[in-house]
Amino acid sequence: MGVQLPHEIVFRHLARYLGPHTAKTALKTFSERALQKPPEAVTRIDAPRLLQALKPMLRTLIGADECDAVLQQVTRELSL
Amino acid sequence: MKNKATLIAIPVVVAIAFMVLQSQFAEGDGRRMFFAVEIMFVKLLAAAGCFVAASRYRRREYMGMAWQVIGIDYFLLFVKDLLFGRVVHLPGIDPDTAESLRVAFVIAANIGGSIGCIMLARVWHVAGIALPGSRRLQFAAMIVGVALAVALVGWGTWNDLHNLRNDKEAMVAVASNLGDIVSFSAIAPILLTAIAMRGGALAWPWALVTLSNIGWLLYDMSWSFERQWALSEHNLRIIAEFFRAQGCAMALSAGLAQRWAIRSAIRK
Repeated sequence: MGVQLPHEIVFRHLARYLGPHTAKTALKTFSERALQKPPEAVTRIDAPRLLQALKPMLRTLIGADECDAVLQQVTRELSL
Repeated sequence: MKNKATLIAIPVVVAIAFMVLQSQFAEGDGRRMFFAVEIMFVKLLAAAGCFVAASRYRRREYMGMAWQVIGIDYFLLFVKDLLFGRVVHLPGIDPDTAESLRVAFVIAANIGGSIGCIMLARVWHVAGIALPGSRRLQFAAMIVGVALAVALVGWGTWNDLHNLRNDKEAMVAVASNLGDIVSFSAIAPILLTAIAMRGGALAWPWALVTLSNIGWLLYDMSWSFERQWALSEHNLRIIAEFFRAQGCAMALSAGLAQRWAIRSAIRK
């Protein structure tokens, strides 16, 4: 497997819970809302703000503990 | 999602067990006692499933509270059946007080169930995710759900409303029907949430909650089969209780699916 872009890593984790369709839509919505850019343009430097924006949605759906665990995992994979 | 087979097996096993066991109690007091115990048992299973789901969340988290109030709804209905049904006979309690308590349990349970269903139906909005289809299609689906709910139980509720003052049975019916209207109206948004999450672990609890509500919808509908198909009381009871048992079994599966969806995704 080649090196994944930041939005691909976030998408992979979101899709496990939300499915590919909603993961894609959520990524686009929150990326544009928090960073004013499409997911494909998100860099590793932008990623923490994107993850912060996704937090309320994830907390609602999977709870705070699981949300924190997932975001930590994403952060590790992004080598932040 | 792991354990998919278990989630599917639960309602299948409940269905088979129900059909086999009910055939063993053909008539009389044995049959009445079988239904009394069976109804309590499936409600307890449903309550357990909801509490298992709620236990994955911290206190005061939105989804945890939704599962908790639905669990309380099932548990109160179980306690109502246990204390004021055929199984336990409370000594020294005035029949009128017992009847008032039974009504209070039904009203409290239906309030809990309605709040839980509304909370689940609003999760997409609270979480900020988009439902599939155009706004017009979503609106149409919700209108169909509300119309179906009102068509099914609206007329009976209207009649019972006129007897509210002197008839406690009418109070039970009105509380139950209003709860049904809310939960049937919630089918559309809950189903749309399940469709939105297709392919993800969270699609399973949402799909199973939808099926649970449909089970209860068919339970209510089954009483109208009498007029349409001229069914005997005996067969009508089997059909109605089958769907009620399925509604409860699906609620158990949904609760387990919610818990496993989160755990399985974390462990990957």
